[in-house]
Amino acid sequence: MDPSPGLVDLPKEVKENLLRWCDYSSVIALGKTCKTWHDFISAPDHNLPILAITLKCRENSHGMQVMSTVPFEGIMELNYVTLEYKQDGETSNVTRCPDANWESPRTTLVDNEDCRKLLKKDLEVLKQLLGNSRLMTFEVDFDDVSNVRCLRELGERYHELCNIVSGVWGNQMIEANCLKMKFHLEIYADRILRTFAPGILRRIILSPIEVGGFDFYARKPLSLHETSRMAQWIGAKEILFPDFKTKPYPEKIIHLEWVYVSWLCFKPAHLVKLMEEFILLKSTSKDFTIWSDHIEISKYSFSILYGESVELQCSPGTHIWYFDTPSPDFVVEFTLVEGSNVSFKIIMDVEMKEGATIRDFNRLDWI
Amino acid sequence: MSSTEQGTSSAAPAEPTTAPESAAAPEVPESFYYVHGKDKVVHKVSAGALQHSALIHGMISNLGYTEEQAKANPFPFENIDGDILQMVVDWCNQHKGKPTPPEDTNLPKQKEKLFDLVLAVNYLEIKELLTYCCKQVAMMVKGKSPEEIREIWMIPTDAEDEAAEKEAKKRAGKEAAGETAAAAGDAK
Repeated sequence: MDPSPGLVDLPKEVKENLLRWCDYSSVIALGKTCKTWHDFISAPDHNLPILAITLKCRENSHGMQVMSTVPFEGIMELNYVTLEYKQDGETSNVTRCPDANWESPRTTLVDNEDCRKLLKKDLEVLKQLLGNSRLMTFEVDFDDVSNVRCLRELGERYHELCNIVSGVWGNQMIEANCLKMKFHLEIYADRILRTFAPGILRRIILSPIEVGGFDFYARKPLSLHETSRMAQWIGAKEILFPDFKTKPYPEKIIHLEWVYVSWLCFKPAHLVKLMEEFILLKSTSKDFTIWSDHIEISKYSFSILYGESVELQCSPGTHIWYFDTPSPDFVVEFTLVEGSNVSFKIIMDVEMKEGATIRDFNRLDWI
Repeated sequence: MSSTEQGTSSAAPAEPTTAPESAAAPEVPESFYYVHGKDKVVHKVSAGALQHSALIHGMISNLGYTEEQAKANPFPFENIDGDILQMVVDWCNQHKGKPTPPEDTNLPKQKEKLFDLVLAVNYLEIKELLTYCCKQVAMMVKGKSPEEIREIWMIPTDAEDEAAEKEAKKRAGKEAAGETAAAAGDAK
């Protein structure tokens, strides 16, 4: 074997295997060590998947984050390569602050150069550095949009950024586009969503500030009230509320046709409010599912008050109760999947399972 | 290394004295094969352990050796250092018939050893161990600048590479010229 080993001398299969375990920062660094590695990484047959490229758009700055996951010691570790552009409001100069491995020099001042042009250039550089990679998610994060005056402009910016990335990456190499933003007022959400074409969003992520929740101690109620105007959200397949329980904002949940919430711990007291919302039809969400590691509601305790549930033969551990609503012909279907989730659905009474009885929700006082 | 028998060998392999102990003795007697590296030290390895290596497994299946034949004809891996082959054999024995864990923390930390192990494992086609090794190399690359990687893994810069190439060409040119001159001299 060669007495002075070098990474350049590795066979192709080994290099490919090695790249699979490298985060992007390392891939970029390796590509810059020498021409051999650069050419190897740029070769079109590796197809390294990129988990996400996030463009963070603030008023006077843009940031790009390239995310990968590399499993080490049994843990999926998130790795980022970042690049930031900060525009000086007075001079319009752009300060470019790349990650250590991106490009040198680390900080460059570019006179009057538009951030988006720089972004495009850097995306092209990134594409070269990471080879022919598949981009799983392209995400534009507008952060807090409550200060944005012209929403149409925001929509145009989003489309422009999507066009830039698809121009560089190629439409067929991007799996999904994603838009992320914070709303403080429902009216903003409504207006913004009217501005963006429906159906372009596959995933909506709401951070805790925009949604209601229970305070750990004060147990402020969750409201699923109104805002049924936002038909644009109906097309969303998945809604994530990360750390839903951790922030005490008793604000209203924006209406969604389907809502899926990951809850840290779901207690009987939480159920009372949700039932009230649903059964009185304050909520316009038709389907509300809560997933939790700790659902503190059992089939036993619920059956004592409401009688036997309907059990699904095809799905053991799934129990269903039906509750009356003020609207004739409609009932709330409450499903408990033991240890996993609870969900509410507003359905027509004719859709009820055979032999089921409709209960009166008022008896929920016991909880 | 408990299950590896060592001895020195030149033309004929050294006679291994003891067989590796299996924790649970199989009902059917296990067959053993012999391998040696650059240092000619012969390692006795069970067929079960050798299944990790696609290369050796293929050789065994094709040859259909008996125990005696296997003993008389150890597989020679002259391109693999003895200590590296030892590591490989140990790993194969440790993971014989077991599902491989997601991580392996017993890999060498010195880059020269790791590098040799990578090449050996790749040659012997031991997929799982190669993955562990590559993870280890990736770990060593992580967080390093291109300059640091170059230094650690002895990657010449493009300029150095070009200079070395030119030098090599020059040397080859000179040698060729020398040979031509010598040939001309001989002809005279």
